[in-house]
Amino acid sequence: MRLEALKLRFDVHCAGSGASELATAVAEAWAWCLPEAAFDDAPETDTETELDPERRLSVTLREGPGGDPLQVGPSTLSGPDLGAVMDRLTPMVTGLALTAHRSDLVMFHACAVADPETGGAVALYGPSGTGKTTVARTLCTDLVYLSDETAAVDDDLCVVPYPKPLSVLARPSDAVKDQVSPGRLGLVRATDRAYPLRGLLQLRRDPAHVGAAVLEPLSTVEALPELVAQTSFTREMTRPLHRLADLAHRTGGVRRVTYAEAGQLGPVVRAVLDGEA
Amino acid sequence: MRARRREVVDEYVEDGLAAVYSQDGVVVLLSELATTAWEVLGEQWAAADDVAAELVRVFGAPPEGGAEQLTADALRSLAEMHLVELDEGALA
Repeated sequence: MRLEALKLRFDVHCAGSGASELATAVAEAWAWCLPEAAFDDAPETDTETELDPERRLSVTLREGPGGDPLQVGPSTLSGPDLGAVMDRLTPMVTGLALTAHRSDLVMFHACAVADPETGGAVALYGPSGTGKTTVARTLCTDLVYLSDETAAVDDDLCVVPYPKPLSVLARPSDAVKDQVSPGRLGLVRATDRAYPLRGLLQLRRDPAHVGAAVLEPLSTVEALPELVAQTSFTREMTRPLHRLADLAHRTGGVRRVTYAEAGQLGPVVRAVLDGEA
Repeated sequence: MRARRREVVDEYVEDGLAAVYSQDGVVVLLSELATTAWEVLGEQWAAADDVAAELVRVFGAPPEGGAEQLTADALRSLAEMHLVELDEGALA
């Protein structure tokens, strides 16, 4: 089974007891990251390998069928059960994709959505806990789902889709999040078109906030500390502050959006996409 | 006291405010006063009194406290952020 994450293509090899079930779960959750030509590929599995009980299942990401493990970074993981392996697979894939593109994409820790008609995109960035996944789930029943975690921007200032599974807690008491296919959540799928970035929004979730989400412009210099904190591999950029400032200027400047519930963001994001905010 | 800049990853100045990316991997937004002090400093040692003189020229004399003391406080803040190196024992 071949997957694609931010244009990084690799094969998924599952091993251990339950490898077939794991392969099926990976194929379902990562369905929107399957390259078109790979839709009918059978997952590569090995149920013969005996693994110890704590590492009953394993996944290895390889350069090709039967090929070497990806060399970009750690590309093998194992766990006691399907849920644990699925939970660990997502950050491993994301980490590899980010590492592979550290010199050619600007990658924000952000939820990215787009207008299905114009392709205009908005990135909503913020640290973990600011609600990016919930925002994606809420907005992308109407807007295109580009990512709930990484808004990767290329030299043409277009967002490269990374429609990974969404990590969702089925029950508040669960220790491990389910990895849910965006298709299963009824989200709008990206196509081959370009998604030019039209807005860069700093997410500020305030549970006490009442009423419509509030949008306020930030000067670029004020925005830079948090913007850098939410951007991968800035230390490897040439003059990172200037590069991010230039990107911000060319996409309308940074704005902060304060909200309590994801549903409040819809009108604000729509206004940004329409150039009315 | 004298001070000089430490090496930084990058700095960006806009509307009198500087964002400075330190070697610690943190981006700090400086106040207008700290930005001016930062811009006075270079790789070579500069006397704190020279920095104070520039701050007084730009912002005027402080209403309370001596400019030298306020400058020393500002430089120590920059040093805590690992943006400048201080030589506390040096004569002005």
